Amino acid sequence: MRSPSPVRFGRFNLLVEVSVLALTSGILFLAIGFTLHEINRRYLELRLTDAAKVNLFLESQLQEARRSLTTFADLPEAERSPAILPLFAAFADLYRLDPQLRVARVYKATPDSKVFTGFSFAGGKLGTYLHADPEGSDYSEIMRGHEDEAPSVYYVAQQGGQHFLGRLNLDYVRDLLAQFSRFSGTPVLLVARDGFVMLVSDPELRIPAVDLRKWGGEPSPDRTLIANERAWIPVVSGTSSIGAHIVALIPTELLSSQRRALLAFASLFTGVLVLLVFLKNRRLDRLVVQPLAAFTRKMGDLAAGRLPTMDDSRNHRFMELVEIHAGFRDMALAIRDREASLRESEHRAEAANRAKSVFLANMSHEIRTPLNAILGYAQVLVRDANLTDEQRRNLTTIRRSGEYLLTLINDILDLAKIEAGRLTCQVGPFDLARLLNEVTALFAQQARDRGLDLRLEAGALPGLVAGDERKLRQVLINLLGNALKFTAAGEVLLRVAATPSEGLRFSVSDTGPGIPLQDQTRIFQPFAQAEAGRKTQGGTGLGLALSSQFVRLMGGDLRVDSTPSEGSCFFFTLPLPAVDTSLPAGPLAPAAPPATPPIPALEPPLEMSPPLAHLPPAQVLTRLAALPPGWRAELEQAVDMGDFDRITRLVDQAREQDPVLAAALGTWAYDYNLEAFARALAALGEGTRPDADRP
Amino acid sequence: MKKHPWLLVPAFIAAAGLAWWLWPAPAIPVAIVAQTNLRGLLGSGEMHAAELYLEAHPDSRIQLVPVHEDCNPEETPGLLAEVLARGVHFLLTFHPSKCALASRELFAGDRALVINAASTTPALTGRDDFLLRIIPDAVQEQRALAAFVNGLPGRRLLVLQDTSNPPYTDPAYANFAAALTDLGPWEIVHRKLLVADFRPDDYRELMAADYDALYILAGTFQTAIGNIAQLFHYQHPDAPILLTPWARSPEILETTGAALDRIILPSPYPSRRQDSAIDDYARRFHARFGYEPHVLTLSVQIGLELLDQAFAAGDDTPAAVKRYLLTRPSHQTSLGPIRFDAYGDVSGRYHFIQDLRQELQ
Repeated sequence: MRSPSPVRFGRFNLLVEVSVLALTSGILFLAIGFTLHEINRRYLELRLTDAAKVNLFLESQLQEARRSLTTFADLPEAERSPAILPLFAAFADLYRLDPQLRVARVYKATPDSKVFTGFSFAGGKLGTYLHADPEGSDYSEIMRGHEDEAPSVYYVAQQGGQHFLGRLNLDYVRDLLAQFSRFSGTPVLLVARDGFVMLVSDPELRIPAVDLRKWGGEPSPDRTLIANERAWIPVVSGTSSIGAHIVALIPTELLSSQRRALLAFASLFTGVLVLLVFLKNRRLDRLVVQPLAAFTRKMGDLAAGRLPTMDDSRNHRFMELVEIHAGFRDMALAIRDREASLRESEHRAEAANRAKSVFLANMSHEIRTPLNAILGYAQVLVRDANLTDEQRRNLTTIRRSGEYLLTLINDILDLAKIEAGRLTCQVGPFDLARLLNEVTALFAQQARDRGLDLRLEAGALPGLVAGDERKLRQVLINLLGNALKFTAAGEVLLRVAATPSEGLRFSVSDTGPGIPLQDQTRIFQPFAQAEAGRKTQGGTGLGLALSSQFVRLMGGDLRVDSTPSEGSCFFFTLPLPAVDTSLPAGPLAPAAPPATPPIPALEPPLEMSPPLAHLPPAQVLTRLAALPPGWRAELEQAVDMGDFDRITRLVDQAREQDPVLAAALGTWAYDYNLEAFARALAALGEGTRPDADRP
Repeated sequence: MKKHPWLLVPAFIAAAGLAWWLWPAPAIPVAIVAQTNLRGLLGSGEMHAAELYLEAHPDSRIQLVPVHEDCNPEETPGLLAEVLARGVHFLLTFHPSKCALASRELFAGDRALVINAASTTPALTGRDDFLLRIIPDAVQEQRALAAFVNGLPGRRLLVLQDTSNPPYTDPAYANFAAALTDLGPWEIVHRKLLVADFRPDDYRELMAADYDALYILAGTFQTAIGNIAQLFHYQHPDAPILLTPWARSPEILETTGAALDRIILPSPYPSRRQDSAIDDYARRFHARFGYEPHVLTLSVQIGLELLDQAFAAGDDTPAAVKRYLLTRPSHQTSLGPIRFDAYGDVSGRYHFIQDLRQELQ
């Protein structure tokens, strides 16, 4: 199941409350709507019942008129004189009809009646009534009278084969409607079966007809009729015996005012609820959400290592928050104590590390001094022509062991400098092709001895590049040395190619035993070796670690791609921009190439390193001339004799007068290669600049 | 869509087009100006006819605005001006000629367009205004009547001219008399009366004289026309009685009693028995409202159909609707074609319906 996305508590709480509020409001409005509907329905039913009472009144009037006309019809013709007509006041008009339904005699007529003797009642609704009900058992429908267009009801009585027709002018009912209207407060209409309005209680009301089909259903406040620019709810009664409907027009204002009042109450209620929810949420936000947010910020501070300030827990309104506050404060204090303890431990560790580095540096210096003497005397002794072969082999063994020991010490020193952050790149122009050839040449004899094919593949390379030549040389030597060391048969290939990103990709591949996947990252750790290296080849385990650090310092990343039993390929890419050789020599001008391939340099102790350890030969010559007379001769003699104690003492003497020169001489001295030192001093003595033949 | 943001443009256009297509066109208010002070079918019939039309055309853009008037020439212009002020630009009016004349200046310009179905006064004929009529004027009407009378047997004709609507009855009688005089040797006995105040005793003697026919030139709808016809019929049982087209109303015809068989009713519309469309409409009307339609209810149907056709064509301003109605040679409606001339008047033949007993059923 997918877990829901986290939301803010305040937003969630607000959403829940708004939803509940909306639901509550909906229920409230539905209840109000239902109540209104029921109230309105009951109210309209009551009004309809009241309006129907008009019909009862009419019915009683019609019954009376009916009896009256029957009496009139029963009278002998001679007695139907004008004198008795006032007794039949219910009728506005009284006729005797012939069989064709024409007026044979007018007994009583409305003033200005348009009906005359001979007038035919054979047409229309009245004709239908007379044809259908010759027995006079019922009334005609209400209609406009032919006499004066007043709302009328006709009644026919038959006596002795003659038809007597009486007309009731219902105009007087208008007064009744008006009274009822005043009583009920609503206009009342008397409407014929076909919808035409016969009488209306309010003469100002302009409603000529009512669509009974449309309005005859259950009245509703939603179905209103517009008349005289007001909205009315028509309430239509059932039809009476004269086909009339009583239509009460209920003004919508009354129901609308009820609806408005209830809706206003509901709206006010909802509004107050919304306000209460707002105030409650605001208080909740201040009392709960904001403290929680503050806790969150303080936890963030704590995570960032800043110990938060803890305010007074009494500021919190709720016990839970007070408890959280107390717990958080205790936790912060505990973390602070632990951090202090950790920091102290860290300081101690750093101090120990610094002490270790100093110790290593001092130790390497102290070890190198006698080791230089050993190597120097070994070199001097090996030149003795009187030595036997065995003595020469033993001296050679001493010399090689010393060289190995010196290499190990140099590696440890470099590693210590890297850990101390003291090792930097010495960027300068150098001839990359020459470097590659020299490095390859270094291992050519070893490869031949082991029956391996050592090849160099270099594409179109720039002549001079800017970079740290010494470190690159050291890396390539390490990689080629490893490749030759671990490869029993096949080839070792050094390949250099330009990359599209203005870098140069170096790779050293071999057909050796390969490196298992689990060792491919570990081999770059100091003092770590692959299984094969540990079992068969020995070594310190510092070479690849130093190479990796050197490559990183130069802006690359040393990586390995290896398949066990097939071989390995170490590769890295360095940004070595080409140097424009057409420019005049300046700070980036290439240094003079050494007369002999340089051997791994053992640098002076860290605390002894002058700012300019390497001086150009011309400056060395100038500075040597400034030393006391005889100092140089004594130094050359000490070098010839391999007397490292004297060399060290003389360099120390020179340091007092010229520390820069002493540092440069110390570099040579510490290279322990007395032959090279002697050649250099000889060259200086002859005034020859090693780079005189270079631009 | 992130890859092709330009697709938003056609998508937006398509959505806007769909919304425009689905969005209903705004309703257009059309006033039905009816005379409701006559206590009868008139007025109610027009309103009911309009309701029936909209019930049958629920997609119509017409929005009914009922306007009740008393047809008082002094009040009608003000009433109509109020209607126009409420933003109503289309009216369907049924008032007599006197009211149409009184308010005609309101429709001289293109502020509103009125379709009139009852004002036949020649004073409105040939005027380039925004008052269109869907009935022929009194000149055509009376000439047709004269031609019909001329074909009747007899030589002596009693003409009772109603004085309630002189703008119609005066030119109508003049044209009738002139045409009948031109056509034949008929002797016309001409009397004026106010039909609404008809007193039988006042005309008994007049009608007792020797006549071969009676022509009741009533100015408007009045049931007393039936009483007058009955009085004449009582004296001359076999003489034909001509009415004006405005007597095509059940209330009037039902009042004629036995005289119904002698009534001749001129009508711009054919008899129900001759025209199935009119018969069908009359049946629908009766089924819906419970009474027979009168002449003006037919005009309501035609008038609303004309307006709806113009609205459906996209013309919804008075000028555009007028142009739509006058520039086409003929407009087909469910009750027959209508052909306007350049001034918005129509011409047509008259039908003389004599079997009115069937017409009322």
